[in-house]
Amino acid sequence: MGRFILRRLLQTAVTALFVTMIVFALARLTGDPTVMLLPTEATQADRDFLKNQLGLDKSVPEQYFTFISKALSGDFGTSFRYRVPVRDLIATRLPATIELAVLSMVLATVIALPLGIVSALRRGSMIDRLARWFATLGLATPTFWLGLMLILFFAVTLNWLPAAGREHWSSRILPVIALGWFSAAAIARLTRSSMLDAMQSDFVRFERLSGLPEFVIVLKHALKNAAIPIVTYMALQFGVLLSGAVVTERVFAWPGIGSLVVDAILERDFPVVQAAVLVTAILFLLINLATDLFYSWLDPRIRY
Amino acid sequence: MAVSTAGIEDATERPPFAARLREGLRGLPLLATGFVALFLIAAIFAPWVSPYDPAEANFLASLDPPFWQEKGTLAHLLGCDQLGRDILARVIHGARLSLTVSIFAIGLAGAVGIVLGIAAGYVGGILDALIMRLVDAFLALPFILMALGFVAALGTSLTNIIIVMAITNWARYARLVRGEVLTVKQRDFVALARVAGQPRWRIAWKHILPNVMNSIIVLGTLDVGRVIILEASLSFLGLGMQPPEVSWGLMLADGRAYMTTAWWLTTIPGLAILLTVLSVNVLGDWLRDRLDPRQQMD
Repeated sequence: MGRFILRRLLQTAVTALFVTMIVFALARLTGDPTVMLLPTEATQADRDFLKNQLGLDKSVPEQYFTFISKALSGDFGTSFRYRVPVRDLIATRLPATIELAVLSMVLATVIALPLGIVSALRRGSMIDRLARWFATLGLATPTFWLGLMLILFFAVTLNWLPAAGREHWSSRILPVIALGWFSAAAIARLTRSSMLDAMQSDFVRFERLSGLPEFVIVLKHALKNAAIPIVTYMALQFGVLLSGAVVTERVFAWPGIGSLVVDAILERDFPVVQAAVLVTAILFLLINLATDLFYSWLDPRIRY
Repeated sequence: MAVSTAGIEDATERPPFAARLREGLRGLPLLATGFVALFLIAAIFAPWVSPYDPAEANFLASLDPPFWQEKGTLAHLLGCDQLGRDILARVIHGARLSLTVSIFAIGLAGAVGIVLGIAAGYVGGILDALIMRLVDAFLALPFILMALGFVAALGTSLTNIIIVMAITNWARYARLVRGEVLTVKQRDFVALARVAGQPRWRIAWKHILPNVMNSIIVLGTLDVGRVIILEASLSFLGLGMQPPEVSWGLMLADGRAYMTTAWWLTTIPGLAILLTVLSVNVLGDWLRDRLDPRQQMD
């Protein structure tokens, strides 16, 4: 157990290191930030001075090292556009994105788990066929278009719900449905197949023979066995949600990281882009780590 | 000694071509296949099947509704946008862009994934560990955010969008191929080839690659929908294709401002994406069940 945790921690750390390298490389690819920071009439001397200030005259490994050590202490530089520390921008926007992702995850789970389980237990029935259609359709629907259609129907035509913002609780309904829809479909599909696997496993057959009531078999044994792939998959879906939030936020003018990043890219405010990508990726890595540790505790047989 | 897995089936009598064809196409989802065919025809023959030039503005027809609506005309079956450009023509040309991006992006991602996946699985050791951590890192970066980051860095053009899609997608191919290689590597014919003194690259190319190809084709087909949606999302955000290119995502971005007055501007391109992705996915699921039953979910 201890060795497994250690190994998994080490793996996550190495992966995180690679993530920082990718993000750092991204920043180098964008070219010279002084072009964006200085007015066009700036002299070469001004440029050199600014480069020196930003540490851009140092060697690439040195720059990377500075970037890492600053990032570790939560210093992501200053936003070109807002002239405030990037950390503060992220700190004000991140909670909104996490709220959207968590609410969508809750919605997806509440719909998908019962649907997937019933669908597996009543294989071939009307409910099963509906559930499979729901999953197939959900996986093919672009999140941002679903958002637009929800606005068109519930905000424009029926005028029931607000189309944008985060002020009132009701303004959360449409973005959460738009974002959670895809994950609901994906989780329902996986729940169904995991439950089918579990129901066909030897021990469930054995328990049937031993005369245990069906609901005990389903709830206590089959579901427990199916839970591991489902929980892993849900952690992966959380990454999908964080990613999908970028587009959903744009559609619903939701003040999260996604809106911030899109604006930052359009304005070429690179420190913000860099920090947002890095923070979201690390968050996702940590969620996956937590899931792995959780299910190794749930089922001690699981090891890499 | 030549060792090959091919030719084993040839030893037995082959059934007639028609019977093999029928067997091969068993359970083919007809509706989805039909729609995919329509999509391909529209995409490949866009300039010939399109009723208008997709960029041609006609202010007299500005915001004309589809033909079944009051005021709609048969001249513009699916209506026109704010500049009077024909929606059907734009949907057809949008299909062309979606197809181009998905073919090149998946081809590139698959090629990179295959090379790195084989290298990791076949060579093993420290190279394997390094490649796999890189794969993990790429899989950890939220998909759209990463794509946005790369677009910001590289700039928007068709080539760059394709490169970005490949950068954000190769990791899953590498992981899949590595896993397959690890199992194939244990099989006797690979061991025999090694004993026979064949060079490593030749074993990888001749014996391992053909055995992992089915899984790659399945993943590639199921990825078409993903790439179409991703390209549309980027273009919708203003960070993908730029006008005057015609993209379904751009059409949606344009139509957004007219949502209260002209619903067809946002509904029709979205339906085009939905139906295309749905059909390709259904077809991909069928292909997976036929070629690679281990990945089966339903």
